[in-house]
Amino acid sequence: MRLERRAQASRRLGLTVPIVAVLLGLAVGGLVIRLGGTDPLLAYRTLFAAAFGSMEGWQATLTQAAPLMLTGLAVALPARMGLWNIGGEGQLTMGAVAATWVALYEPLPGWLLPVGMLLAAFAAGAVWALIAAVPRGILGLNEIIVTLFLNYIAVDFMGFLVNGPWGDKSAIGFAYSRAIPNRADLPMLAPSLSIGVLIAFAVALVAGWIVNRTPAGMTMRLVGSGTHVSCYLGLPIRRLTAIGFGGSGAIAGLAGAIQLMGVTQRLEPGISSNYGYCGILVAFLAAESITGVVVGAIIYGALIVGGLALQGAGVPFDISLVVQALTILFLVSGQAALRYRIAMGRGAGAAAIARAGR
Amino acid sequence: MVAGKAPSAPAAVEALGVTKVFNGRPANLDVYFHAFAGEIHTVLGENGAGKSTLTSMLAGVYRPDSGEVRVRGRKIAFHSPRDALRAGVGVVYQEFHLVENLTVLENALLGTGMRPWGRKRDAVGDQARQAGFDLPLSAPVRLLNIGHRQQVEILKLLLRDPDVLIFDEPTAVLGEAQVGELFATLDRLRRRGKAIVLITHRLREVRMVADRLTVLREGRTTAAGRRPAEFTDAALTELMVGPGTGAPARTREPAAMGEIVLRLVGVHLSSRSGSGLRGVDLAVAAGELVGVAGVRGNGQREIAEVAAGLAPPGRGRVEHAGGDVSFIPEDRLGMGLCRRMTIGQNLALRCYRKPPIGRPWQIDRAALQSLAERQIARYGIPARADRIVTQLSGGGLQRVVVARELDQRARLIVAAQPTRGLDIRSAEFVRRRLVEAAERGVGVLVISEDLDELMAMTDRIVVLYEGCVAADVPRSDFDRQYLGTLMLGARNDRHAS
Repeated sequence: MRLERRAQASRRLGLTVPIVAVLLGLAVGGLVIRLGGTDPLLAYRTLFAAAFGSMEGWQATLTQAAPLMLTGLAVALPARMGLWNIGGEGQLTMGAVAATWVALYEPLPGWLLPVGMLLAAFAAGAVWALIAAVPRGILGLNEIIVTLFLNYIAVDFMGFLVNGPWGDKSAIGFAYSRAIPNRADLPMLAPSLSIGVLIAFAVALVAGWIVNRTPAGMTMRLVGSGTHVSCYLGLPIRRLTAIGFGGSGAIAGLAGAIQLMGVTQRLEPGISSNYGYCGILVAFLAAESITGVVVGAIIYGALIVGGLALQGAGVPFDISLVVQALTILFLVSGQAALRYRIAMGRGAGAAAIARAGR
Repeated sequence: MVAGKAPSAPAAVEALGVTKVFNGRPANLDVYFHAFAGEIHTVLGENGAGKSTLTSMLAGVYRPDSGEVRVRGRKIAFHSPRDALRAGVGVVYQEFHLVENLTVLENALLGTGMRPWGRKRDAVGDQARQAGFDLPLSAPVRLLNIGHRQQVEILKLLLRDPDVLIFDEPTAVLGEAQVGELFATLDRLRRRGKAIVLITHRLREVRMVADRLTVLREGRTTAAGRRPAEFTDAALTELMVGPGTGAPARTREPAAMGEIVLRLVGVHLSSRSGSGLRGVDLAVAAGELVGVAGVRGNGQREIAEVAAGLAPPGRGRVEHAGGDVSFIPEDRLGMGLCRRMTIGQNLALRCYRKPPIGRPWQIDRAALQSLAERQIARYGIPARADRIVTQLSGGGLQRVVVARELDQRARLIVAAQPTRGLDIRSAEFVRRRLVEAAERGVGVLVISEDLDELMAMTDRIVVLYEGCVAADVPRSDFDRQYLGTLMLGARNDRHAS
């Protein structure tokens, strides 16, 4: 028995691996729940009922899924170009800061206000990502480190704003900004679901089209496949890197605006709720596929909603995190299954060598 | 070969009617082969003819489905290459298995359990001297050139004292001069009574060293243990590729010269490995086919990239007549193709952003598909357009690159080592396309280490030596020996003016 490298992973296998990883994550997570003295089946029933069992559940799940979809795209899109954007958290935060600034200090008339806020968030996210793209393009600095550190700067900058100049003086003991005007709220689709989720779906649709159907998408894949090919074809790598990074930052920034205008109504430290980091996991779960990001974001949203419901039933919320972590672990193992296969006997392995060498 | 010995003594190694089937396709079908001590026996065949499969069975990498392998007349079932080595059969593979940061001595002794000091050091030195190698034993392998690395591989094998040495296309990676050295080594080993099996697809090498030859075509033996003198080159080619194909490269008449499409003036370019370029002047006219010859590392890679416009020269000027330049890069899979894309997408790499395929908001998949199908048919690419490109063999990959580059209708084509490692049919195909392009009035610059190829197809050969143009030889003065000495740095006396 030996491992062989696959020439090409089939599409069906590409779908099977994440599904099996999620199921295994739930199964092993169930063992952990059992150790905690709760019936895992009951716990999972509670979890799924909370996330999908009612209209309220669906609304909550989709509300969670919307920002995750955007931050997931913000990782998956540059990953196609071989770039790692770990800065979704910071880009989302800066998006929310910019949108708040428009709402509090540049009160545009009528419907221009929400549109202006969205645009400001879009631009702020892009700028925050470009801060990482420029040193990479010129000095070759690692974008992972730069985007990661920019997260801390963004979060602390927001902390300064809500504790200081933008703070709500009436809320003693709580650090959050003054509320944005009501007319800046996103329209609601349902009692507790804003159109933010539609914006996220639309962005995913456009991104999917660009990536899979347009010349620009093909260029992205070429850049992602290595500098030799790109140089050979004369592609402007630095400019494309900047566009890719800026675009992905803009998408993450949009998530900040959607949170602000659809959920929190004010700038507050918890506004990102780790969506930036979870987006990395969503993109990973999706193996950089756009459809995968949409599905993965909904699954993650459900886990968050379900986890909160479990907490109400006496199981710690952390169980949901355990299930998430297990899922990722199984997924990483599953990646090996995508690249290799197990062959029985020595003949098959030798055959592969022969095919390569003959 | 030692003729009188053959019938009485058993063969050093032989395959009797071996068959090996992979995925329902026979790679070897009833193949017969035998090599005697004290001879050089070449195994000739195109890529995919089953040469590697045969040698892998002789060397214990895998076992035949039927038929048997014998060593000195005894039937043997190898379970691993180690078994084969113990029985006295060893292989020098095309890819070297050396640790770059270890010294020559350490590499030579690696895996033997011997310690690299004291008497062992002398033993290795003796062995190297006997083989005629002048190797620096304490130098790390990473400092060695490719010819010396190959010698380390051979030395490794000799320390295990095999009776049979199999060389898997050893000349594919070597320059002209190093091939001569290698063949001198083979001759020395032959005199010491070793059986040498030389895998190759170059007829010239058969003529140079072979005592006997075996030819494989599509997994079958088309000639077994015959003498080279029995065949003309044409007859051997036919045994390798079948009747009616693979005529030698057409020689061409010098074309009427058009305007200059590429001019290098005093071009300098530094390089991390090799000599770089040190003041190169060169011009290629429309309709002209110019060859660049030289031993590897004398500036070929750099001149290709400068001429193609990929690398700006450190000093000097590069002038193009305008328009695109078609470039067939040396590293076809790393630079010329995108591994993760399909054959169709790779064929469209130069034009997917332009109409009719690239529209602003969409790639026209039907247009891409029809382009791909047209090119696949015209260039004989042996797979469907929606296959991932890495599923192709070397010849297929190069056809994809050539198809795409020539389709640009550029006024200049730069081709770097365009036929290296290709099977005869694909190599000939590529050469013919380049000649046709020149006949259409395109300027073509071919950089190649295969002097025969350059002599057959070009109007002019520029010899590079240590980053300078050592000579610019017109077709009327082509002479293999003369060009060969220029490549080694001899002064260009004949054309001194």
